[in-house]
Amino acid sequence: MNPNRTTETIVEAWLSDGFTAQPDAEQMLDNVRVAVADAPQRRYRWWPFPTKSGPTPARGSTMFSAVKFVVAGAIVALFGGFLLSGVLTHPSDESVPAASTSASPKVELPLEIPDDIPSGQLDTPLGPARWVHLSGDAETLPDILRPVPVPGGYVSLDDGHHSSTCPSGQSPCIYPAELWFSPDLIEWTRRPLPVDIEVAHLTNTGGEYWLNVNDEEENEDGSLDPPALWRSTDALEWNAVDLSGMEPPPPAVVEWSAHLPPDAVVVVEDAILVQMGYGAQVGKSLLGLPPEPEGEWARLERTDGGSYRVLGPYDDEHGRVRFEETSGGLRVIDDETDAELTVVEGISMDFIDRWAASGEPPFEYRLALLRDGRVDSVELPEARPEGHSFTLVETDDGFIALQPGSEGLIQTWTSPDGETWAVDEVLGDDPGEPVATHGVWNGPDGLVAWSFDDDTQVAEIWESSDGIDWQHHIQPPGDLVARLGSGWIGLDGAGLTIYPGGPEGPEVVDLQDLRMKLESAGEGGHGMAPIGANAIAHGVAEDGYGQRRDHWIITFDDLLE
Amino acid sequence: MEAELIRRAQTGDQRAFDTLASGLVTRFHAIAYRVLQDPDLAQDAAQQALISIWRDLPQLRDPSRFEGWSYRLLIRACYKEAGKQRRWRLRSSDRTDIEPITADLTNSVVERDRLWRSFARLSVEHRVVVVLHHYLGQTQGQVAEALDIPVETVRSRLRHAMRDLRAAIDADERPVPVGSTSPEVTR
Repeated sequence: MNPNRTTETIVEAWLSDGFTAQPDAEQMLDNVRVAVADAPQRRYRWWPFPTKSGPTPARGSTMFSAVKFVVAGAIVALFGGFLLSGVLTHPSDESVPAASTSASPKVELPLEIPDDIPSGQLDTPLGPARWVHLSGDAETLPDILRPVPVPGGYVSLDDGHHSSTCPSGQSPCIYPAELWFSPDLIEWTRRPLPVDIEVAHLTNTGGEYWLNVNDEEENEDGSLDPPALWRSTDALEWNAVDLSGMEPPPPAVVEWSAHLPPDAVVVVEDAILVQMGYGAQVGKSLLGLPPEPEGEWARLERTDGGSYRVLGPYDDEHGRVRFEETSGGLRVIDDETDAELTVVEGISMDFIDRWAASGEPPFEYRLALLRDGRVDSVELPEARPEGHSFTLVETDDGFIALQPGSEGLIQTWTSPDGETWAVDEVLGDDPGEPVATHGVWNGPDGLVAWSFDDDTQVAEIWESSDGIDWQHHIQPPGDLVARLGSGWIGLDGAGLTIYPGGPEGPEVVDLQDLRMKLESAGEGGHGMAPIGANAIAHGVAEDGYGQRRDHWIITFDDLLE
Repeated sequence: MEAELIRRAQTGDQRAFDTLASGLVTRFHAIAYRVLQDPDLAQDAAQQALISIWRDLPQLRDPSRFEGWSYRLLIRACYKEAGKQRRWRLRSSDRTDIEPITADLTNSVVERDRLWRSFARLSVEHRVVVVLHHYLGQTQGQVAEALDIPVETVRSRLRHAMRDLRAAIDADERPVPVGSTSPEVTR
């Protein structure tokens, strides 16, 4: 291939220019108009929502990390946010250790705001608040603002993205990951990253900052660089974490590619628990069929007769095989000719069945414990290889690992030291327990289990600060983005909304004085992230290219008093 | 402005919906056209998606999330149309609609043709992730959320889709013997 042209640039240029047929838009609209005239809209009862049980206990300030809410919020982004509506108690024998709580530092805007920066004060249901409106461009502000308190100020990681179009017209645009720093939340400057990276995630756990990096640009030989993990005590000086000792899952005869999920690390004292996702790089050659010159990929489809169709990415059939178990592996036989294709040592029918069941080569997550310069693989008892990542929680008594599975059930494990693990109960199989069809997240002060019903289009979450007591929430109008003190900060089409109430009937208060120009958010969209435990950042990208940048920061001064 | 239109359309205002749909129809067709590689099927998918939007709009709680939500409905409509396309292909498997490509055409034309054919042979699921990621510029995470699939699946689909498209490009950059024709693929 011409080294100056990547596959991506060629494909993106083709997608932009290679489709020339023009639609008859007016005819299409006429057809839609006719259909709409006779099509009733589906309307559901949205409000009030049923409450499940008793009063809400008093809670301290609870905050979930920006990353978690960005991820979780996006999952239920279509249909809004959540409202405190009840309390559910996980009927545990308290074998789950209590999660640790660590107060986030109070976030404060400078007392003196420069005159050229719009700012003001608000009276809100959560007490007095101060706000600033930062406007700038790619040279002065991050595109996405998710401030994380660090020594001497705040950092914000813009985790990078591709775009098929650029302001200057060239294609494609690549916006690499950027780290920004501000001493006061007002003035922002770029801060160097340890490597040039395109996609990264920043987390804060164990009193340190962790940056995980996954390579998304293939090398010339089609390979990807292995994932990298960096740690820092100040988000300024970074040290690489040696992950080379992490072992992929069995069978060893299979080559596995590795991927670090966003929340890959938790720390208890000197024990670092890391999870890695592994994808099997399996294809025809493993089965004794001619290999693909461009790399291995195939899926298996079990037939009624017990043989397996070997399918390529076009669903094109490359043969039919059947397997016979040997003392140390499998014999692969051509189903039509009965000829032996190969004997694969060290592989079992379990792996073949997983391969066939998932529709794609197997993918699973593994844990490892890093301590004293050693890397030890962690084997969770009764764990089944699943395509779902673990949610890892550090507690005063050790670790909790949770893994959502089928139908929203959550398998849990506990460990005092990261080495010895016990399988705990399954959540979600009894009334009152959380279910998580869309995952479980661990914030600095608690767990969030998310569930979304595609039929009723109702989103629910369960929240727990200790893994024992779970509070149930169901969506109110708007979009929850942050929990601040006793209230929720929401975002809807009209702007920011505060839901200060509890299950007795939440009061919904619009911040009428601080409309957030959502109508003009346009192609660039908008986002929101909590900062520390008493502030939020809300950003709008108005031009669709991420060049003009607008961010509002609101601090709630009394929340931590 | 769009948020106001959405709110009005949510209450059953057909005029507001009409304005909204007018702003979407061409973009929807462009996306569906790339996924389905057939302008007529793309037209059907885009129309069906717009009708679904009208029908389900009262369920959209946050108008600011309209764009992603509407893409999801469009992709569902594309899947449905792709099912029809697949059945049609099976019935007409002996057709060769594409003109043979000869070596006297420019390299870029040959390359586009190879890309078209290679893209057409991908499953619709793979085409969707390529279009969302490389045409709309969505991140792998956004694609995963839009399609409600693990990001690892998005990554896997992208990797092998791009691998096969690269193979088509590489084939193009090899010398083409005079008089040779490209592989026959129906569409």
